[in-house]
Amino acid sequence: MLILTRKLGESIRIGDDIEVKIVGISGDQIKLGITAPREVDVNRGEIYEAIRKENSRAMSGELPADLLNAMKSMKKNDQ
Amino acid sequence: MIIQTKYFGKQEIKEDDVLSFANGIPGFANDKRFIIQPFGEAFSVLQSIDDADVAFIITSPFLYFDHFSVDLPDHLVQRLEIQSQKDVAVWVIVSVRNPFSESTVNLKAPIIINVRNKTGKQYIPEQSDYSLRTPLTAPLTEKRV
Repeated sequence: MLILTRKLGESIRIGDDIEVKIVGISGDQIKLGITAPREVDVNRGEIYEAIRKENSRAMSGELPADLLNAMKSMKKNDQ
Repeated sequence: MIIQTKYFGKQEIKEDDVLSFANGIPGFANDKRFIIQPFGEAFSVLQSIDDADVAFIITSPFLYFDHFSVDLPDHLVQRLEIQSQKDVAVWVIVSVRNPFSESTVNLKAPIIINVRNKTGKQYIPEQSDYSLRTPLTAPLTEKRV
């Protein structure tokens, strides 16, 4: 992991088109300004991680055939 | 083309039905091409074309949650080149548990598909009132009362 020291107003560049700027510091909170191309996803780490974990959980485990068959037979108007 | 699927064995699919997920989905970054196959009436399967084992049971959030709504931010609308509401299909991933009554759905991070240009993305909202693990059965029970 690359570790850099930056001051308020300074930035780092990642590749040609991503810039992360320190725009505010208050106590133990740091405000970052991120400029990135549209195709780059920018998410808070803990939110991304929670969704990644939930996706893996949704996929995990072999489901018994009788459960799958029961799901297949559920109708829209069952609710 | 013929692909191997998790729930239906070998299947012949049409190239036109292939959905492109440019960045994969969180946890499955290498799976960039999917297909949606019906799984009975109430559910479908989001099946990776690149890996037979990667398949999610999905459902329509509107089917189970009357008041569900999702507000797509501009960057997502632009990314998927959504031109009108008609382009958009919304799905949510079901975490199926045994017994089924313990199953949950991820209402927080829905799968957004542009059905016109066949692109898709799991939307990760900055803020959401919905839970990653919303019980699938709770609203059903409420409705019966």
